[in-house]
Amino acid sequence: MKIFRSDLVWLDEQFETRTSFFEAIGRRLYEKGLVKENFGQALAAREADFPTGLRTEFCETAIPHTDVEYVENASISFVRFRQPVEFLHMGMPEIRVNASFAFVLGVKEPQKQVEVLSTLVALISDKAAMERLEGMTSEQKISDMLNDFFETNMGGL
Amino acid sequence: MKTYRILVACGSGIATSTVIANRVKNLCTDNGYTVKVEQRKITEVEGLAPDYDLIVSSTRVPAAVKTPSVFAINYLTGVNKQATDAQVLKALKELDEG
Repeated sequence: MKIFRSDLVWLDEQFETRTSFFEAIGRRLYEKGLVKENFGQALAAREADFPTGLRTEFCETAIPHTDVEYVENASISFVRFRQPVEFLHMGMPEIRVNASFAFVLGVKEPQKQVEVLSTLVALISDKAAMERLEGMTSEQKISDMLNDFFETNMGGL
Repeated sequence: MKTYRILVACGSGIATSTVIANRVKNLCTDNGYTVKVEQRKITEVEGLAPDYDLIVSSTRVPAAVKTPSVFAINYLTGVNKQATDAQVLKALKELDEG
C-alpha cells in the first residue's frame, strides 16, 4: 500500500498561525475518516508542550503528531505553505523554525511505522528531494515522488 | 556481558523516539553492545530514569535526572549524526568502566 495519497497533499496554503493550521488539517483528516474529531486540538496541545519544528541543513519543516488514541488510520499528510508558518524547534524551544512544509503524522502503530518514520527523517535531510518538493506544482506528482522516495529508501537505513 | 538498559524519550513516546530507538539499537549492536531499548514519553523519564543505564532523547531531559543522557536531535535533522553516535558510544564506554 502506498504511504502518500494525492488527496493528502495540500500546496501553497496560507495560515496565519500554526493553531489555525492544526484546526484546518484536523477537520480535513476527520472528514476523511483518518483521525478522531479532536485530532487538531490534540496536535495543538501537544505542540504547545513538545514542539515539532526541525531545521535540517536544507530546510525548515515541522512534523506535527500526537498520541495514537486520536488516530483512526495511519497516514502522512504533506502541506506546503505559501508563507512559512512559525513553529518552535523540537528539543530546543528557544529556537524558532519558519516551516515551509509540514508532514502531519497520523501514527497508529509505531513499531510498524519504524521504517516509514526513519525514511521521513532521511527525506527532510535530502537536498535534492526537498528542492523538488519546493518546485512541483501537482499534488499527484508530489505524492508519486514521495512514494518513489520511500520505496527506494526504505529498509536501506 | 552486561545488558545495558537504554530509555529513548520524546514528547509523545511514539514518533521520533521510534526513529532514535532504531538508530541507537543498530549503533549499539554494531559496536558489540547488548542493549534493551525502551521508548517512553519525556514526562515519564524522571520517574523511570533510576531503572536505566542511559537516556537518549529528542527533547531535553529534566535537570533532576541523574542517569547519563544524550540529546539526540541530530538523528532527526541529519546534521552531524556521527557526533551523536560518538556521544552514545562514549556514554556506554563510561558505563563499561564503571
